[in-house]
Amino acid sequence: MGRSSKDKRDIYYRLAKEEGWRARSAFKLLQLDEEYHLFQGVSRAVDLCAAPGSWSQVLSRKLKGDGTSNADVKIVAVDLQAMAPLPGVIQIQGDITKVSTAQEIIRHFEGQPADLVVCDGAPDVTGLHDIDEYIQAQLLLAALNITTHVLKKGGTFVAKIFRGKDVTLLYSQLRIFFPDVTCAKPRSSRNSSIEAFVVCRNYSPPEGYVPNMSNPLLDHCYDVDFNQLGGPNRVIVPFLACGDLSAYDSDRTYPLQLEPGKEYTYVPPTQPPIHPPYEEACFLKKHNLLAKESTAQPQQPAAPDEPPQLQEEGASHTCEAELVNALEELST
Amino acid sequence: MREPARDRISHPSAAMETELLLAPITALEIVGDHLMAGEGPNITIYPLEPDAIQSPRCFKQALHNDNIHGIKEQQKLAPEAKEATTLAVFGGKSLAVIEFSLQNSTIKLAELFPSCELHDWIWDLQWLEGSTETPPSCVALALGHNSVALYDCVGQRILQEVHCQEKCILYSAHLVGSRWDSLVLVAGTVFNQLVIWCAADPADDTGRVRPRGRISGHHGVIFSICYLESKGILASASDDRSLRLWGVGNLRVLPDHIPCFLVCYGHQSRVWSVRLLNDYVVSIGEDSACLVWSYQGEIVRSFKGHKGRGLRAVAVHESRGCVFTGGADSGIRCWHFKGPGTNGSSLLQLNFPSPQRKGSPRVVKLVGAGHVLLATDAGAVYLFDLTSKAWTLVLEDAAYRSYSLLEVSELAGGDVLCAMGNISGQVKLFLLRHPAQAKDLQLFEEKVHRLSWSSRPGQDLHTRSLFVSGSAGVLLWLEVSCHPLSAVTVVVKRCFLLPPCKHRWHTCTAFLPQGDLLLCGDRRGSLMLFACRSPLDSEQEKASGRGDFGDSVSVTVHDGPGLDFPIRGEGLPTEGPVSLIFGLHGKTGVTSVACHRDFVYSTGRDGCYRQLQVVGRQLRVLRKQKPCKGLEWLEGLRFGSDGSTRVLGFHAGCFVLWDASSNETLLSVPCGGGHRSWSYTRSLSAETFAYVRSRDVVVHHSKDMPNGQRALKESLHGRELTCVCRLGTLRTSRQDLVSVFATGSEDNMVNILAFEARFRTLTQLTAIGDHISSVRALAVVERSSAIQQEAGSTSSVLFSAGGRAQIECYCVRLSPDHGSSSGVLCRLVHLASHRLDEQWDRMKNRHKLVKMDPETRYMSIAVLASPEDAELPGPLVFLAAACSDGSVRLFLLLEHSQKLWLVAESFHHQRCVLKVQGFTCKTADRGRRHYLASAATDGGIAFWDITATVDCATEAIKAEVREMKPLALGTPVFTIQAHSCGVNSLHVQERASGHFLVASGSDDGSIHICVIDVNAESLANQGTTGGAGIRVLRKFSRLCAHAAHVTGVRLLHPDYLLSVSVDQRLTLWCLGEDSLSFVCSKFCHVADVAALECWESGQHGWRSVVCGQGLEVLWCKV
Repeated sequence: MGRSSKDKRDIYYRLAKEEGWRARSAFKLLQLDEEYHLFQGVSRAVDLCAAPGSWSQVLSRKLKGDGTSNADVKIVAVDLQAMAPLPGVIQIQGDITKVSTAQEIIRHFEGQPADLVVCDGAPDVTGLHDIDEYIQAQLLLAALNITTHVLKKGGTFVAKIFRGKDVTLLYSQLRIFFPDVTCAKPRSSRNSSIEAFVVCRNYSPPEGYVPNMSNPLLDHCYDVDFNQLGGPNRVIVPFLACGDLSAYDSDRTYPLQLEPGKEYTYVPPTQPPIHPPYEEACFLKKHNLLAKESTAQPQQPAAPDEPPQLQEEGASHTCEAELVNALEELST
Repeated sequence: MREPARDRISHPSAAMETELLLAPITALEIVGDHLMAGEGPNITIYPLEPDAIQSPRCFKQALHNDNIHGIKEQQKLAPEAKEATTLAVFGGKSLAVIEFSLQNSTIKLAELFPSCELHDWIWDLQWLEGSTETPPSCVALALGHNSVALYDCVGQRILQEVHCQEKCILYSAHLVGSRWDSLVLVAGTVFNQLVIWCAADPADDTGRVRPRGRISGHHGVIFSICYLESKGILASASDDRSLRLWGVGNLRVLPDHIPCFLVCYGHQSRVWSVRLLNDYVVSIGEDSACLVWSYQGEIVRSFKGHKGRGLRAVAVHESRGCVFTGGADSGIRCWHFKGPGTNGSSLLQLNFPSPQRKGSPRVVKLVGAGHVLLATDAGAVYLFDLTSKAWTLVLEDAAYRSYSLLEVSELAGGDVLCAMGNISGQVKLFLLRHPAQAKDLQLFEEKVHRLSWSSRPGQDLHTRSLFVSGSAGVLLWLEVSCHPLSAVTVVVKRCFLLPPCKHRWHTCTAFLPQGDLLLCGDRRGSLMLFACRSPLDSEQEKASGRGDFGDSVSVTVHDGPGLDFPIRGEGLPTEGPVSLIFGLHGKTGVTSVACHRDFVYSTGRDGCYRQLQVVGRQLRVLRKQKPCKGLEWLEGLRFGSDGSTRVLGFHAGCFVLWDASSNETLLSVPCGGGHRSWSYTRSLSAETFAYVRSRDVVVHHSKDMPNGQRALKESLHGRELTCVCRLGTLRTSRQDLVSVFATGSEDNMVNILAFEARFRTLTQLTAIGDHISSVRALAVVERSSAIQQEAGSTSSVLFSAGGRAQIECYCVRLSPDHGSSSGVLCRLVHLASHRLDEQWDRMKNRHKLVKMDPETRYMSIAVLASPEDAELPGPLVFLAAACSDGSVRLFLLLEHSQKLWLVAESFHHQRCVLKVQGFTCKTADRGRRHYLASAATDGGIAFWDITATVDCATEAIKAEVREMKPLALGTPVFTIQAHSCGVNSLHVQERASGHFLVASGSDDGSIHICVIDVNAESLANQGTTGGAGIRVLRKFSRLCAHAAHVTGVRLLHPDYLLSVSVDQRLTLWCLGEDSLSFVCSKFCHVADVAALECWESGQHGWRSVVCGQGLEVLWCKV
């Protein structure tokens, strides 16, 4: 398959590249906004787990516009990893489970709480659904916890959620802090994906609730009355599909020529990943330096009448030299 | 002993029960002489002894709604005191304690403390010794947010929980120590670090414990940790695809800088787990490989055999030298890692180059298991004795210099008949015993292209047939006899002519069992049959005369062909094939042909082997099989007496012996590739493979079975299952009911599986590997004849469709078979294939072009009822397909020409079409009207009247129209907006009232029901205009029926609906006039549920199959 193949299979991947978004997920926030008008009256927004920064890009373009009229708009992006800089976005490389991070956010807002907190963070999926869903839930709860420190009463919290076996436990948890919780799926999110977004509006923590980061928020458990494991009573929040029906369909495969007269040209990704975990392994693989099973070496038959021939020795030396060169290249 | 997973529900009259579950193997642990496996929530026990009877195996559901991720045995205080072993089983947030006992070879699993749920994820568990602070039966638990809990199993409560200063989510944790006061936790944090801390250390003012040490170095999160106390080494496996070994000593006193002993990069993908042994390190990964490392960082052994994406669990029995691996494919395998080199195999270089020997090796042939015959480019033939390791010169002939062919055939009594061919058309025949009596025949004027020996059924033991290819496609058949006391006699039997092509010579020959037909494959990839006996044969053979080739060999020449030797020029009295399939194996040629049982098999360098049948002297391809990815050159098949099929071939530079039944590599010899001369033989206990390399000959010899691996549990699919479809239910000769169904998967395979309800076993009957991309949809239509039904067998047409716009079609015949373990015999015939982008694959300069068309995927397919037309020779099979490019397509199966014809299409939806279903309605006058329901990602369902299109295609068939452009399917007669989001499931059912019930489930978690009335009569009169024919009587929705995509809905007679969702709930609903009422729900252990199939089984009972990340068979009764 050529490099254009992904452009055909994933229209939003292609559009993101063509429109200069760092990831296709930018469209998800745009479509969520179409439905919920998330950005109305927002001047302080926080993007948690921001890397590679596509949601920050959306916040920046939507809230700041051309940058002249909305000088008081502040956007803070938080991530553990380094992120390429974005104009108009204040970046914090920090951990969302730390009070210091919450304090830093508030400091950037000059002591004011945020109007909107968004989080598009997802773990590196392992492929085992129970583990992936658990870790995603913990990420969401950590985001919720820091949100309780920085969000103003009545504010909005938007986060990615995996709709798996225990999603009702998360819904019941969110309902404690937000009277209005809905599950939204933008049209740019694939039908086959378990990903969806919770849009939690009108932040109203329980009376007397003191935000606390010394202990993590833990997910709820099933109970016998209101949120049953196998019964009819479950906490399922209303669902809303977001985005215009006339928008591109993320599940549809499109021809490369989208409109007559518009020639297709391949566009490389806007922001390739910075130091992914597999970087070194890929380098080694590319240079054939991964360890391999040692293969059996031919034995010389001890023929009675002939002396065994000498083995050539050159091969092992060149191999070693290659290894040294490659490792040098790696370390620089 | 069996303990079915019962889950009775409060509803008085409804019940759902799991009958079988196949899930990723997420835990393995060796306890005594048994292997404990965690398969979903179940614990299953397998004996370690290969000889022990494996079924009925023992299993028990240990956890409720969590998967088992770990099993820990409680160390006995007095080993002899008790027969029973106590096991802690944990996974997710759950924990249970089970007693495992063995009495008179009967295994018993009993629940000591039932499954209970904690507040956080359990990453690891350690049994603790009783002491003053800790009561007996206490365990330490490493929890998800870097805390350690002291848990009392008896009281079922947490006595104490200690947190670490480092607060974060963990990806792995490993507890060391058996006493609370000395317990150490090594935690793999989300920050790619290992944090080491002791639970009993004093806490700071916030109540948290300070870590004793931190280890950084990995570039990704850590998935597995292992500690070996005797060496003081800690191992970690990571997302960065490496495993690292650290010198940590006793873990309690840590140096400031913890040294990294070893960084091992060897996995092609992420490393999931690591185990430290005394002499080895074992790791498993996402690349489905299990690697055994030395402490020097070298890979000692590498095991591959699991399908698809990754191994999930590993257990090692070091003293037995075996590793057990559990895969995401739900299979369990055992591998032996001890033993010399690659398990009793040896590689011997024969040291041919020597001043005493002439030339360099060109052709190598194994003679028996003990000798190697070699022809050199100097025209010399040498024999090497593998026992005495000595070379002997057999003969030398300058005429066979630089180009020579050599083929050998072993005769009864140990004689070896050799044939050589050269560039000037000569063939030399000799007995290896008497090379001096070699005879040369001048058969052609030009090069001899190919020689092959075959033995003809019924021929006497001292006679062999030799086939010689000359130029211009002449294939000469010689019968060579060498009776012990007389000289070699050669009879020219016949002269055949190969079909015209560039490289016009044969590559392989075999006689059919009756001896009347010769099967032949050629260099062009064609397969053909030649008649060996014409009606006049018997007389002619008597009248055969003799001719003289020169020298003094007595050569009998057949009068019939009327040949003059050497053969030259045109106008020869040659015979063409009686049956020919041109270019079957592509331009790289056929490599072998064989007859086995009632079938013919061929292999080719197109990476495929084919099963064929000879019907009325004609070859007919039944199916094509690709043994494994990357095995591009197949060279031959070997059929075992146990029914196994082994494939010989070349995978890049390696010679590979592949077991097609168990899907594993039995042997892999890095010889440099298949272009060289090679030879392979197998005797009862040893395999020998000889090849020419670097002007020498190397012999690979292996005793016993290579690898010595075995499957404790067969695997299902390598990746997630996407679809399931029932093929039929049979009654076996043992009167057991066996349900057969097909499953499709993202691993590009379709499996045909038999489920036996009484013993609850699932057996794979066959696998289909024709898809080049993922399989997403299956559809079936039954076509059993009355005779078949009488005999208790079924016949059906199965369609599979998926990525790269590919559809495959098969005829599946199922019949009772008492010989096999499943009790069912499944015969598969490939009927047709279709690809939308077929032309693209045929384009020659495609690497320079950009393929503009969308890469369409088929999302769903449905077979329509055949139109009733007396003039048709048989039923017509129409197939509707939902396509990702926004179209609905209609195909017709043309069985005779083995084609699928694209009849019509419509791009009405303009969105990815997710589901399609067909239904028909009888009319008084015209037979049937055909309808389609199609649903897309926008939540709409469209209804189509396709009667006119079906009629049009039927007329074309009757008129025998060959070519036709696809018709326009037009616009639907009616659309409803059933959901707000994509429709993931759809089922249409006719009611007794004549109305149709349309049930659909969506991504938005809702279920929609709509009752429609189809007025076929009114439509029949007015043609196809307007939507007047379909009328919605009622419709209603159940919002929030599930918490995620509803991926399966089935209407069950009389008034029930079964739905399943990605939220892992299978729910039974009762259909009311305008609502769905909840009956009961069951937690389903298959993650990412993709499909549901149901069929009636018994009174008010349904059997259902749910598939996704695994497969679950359930029984549901109302």
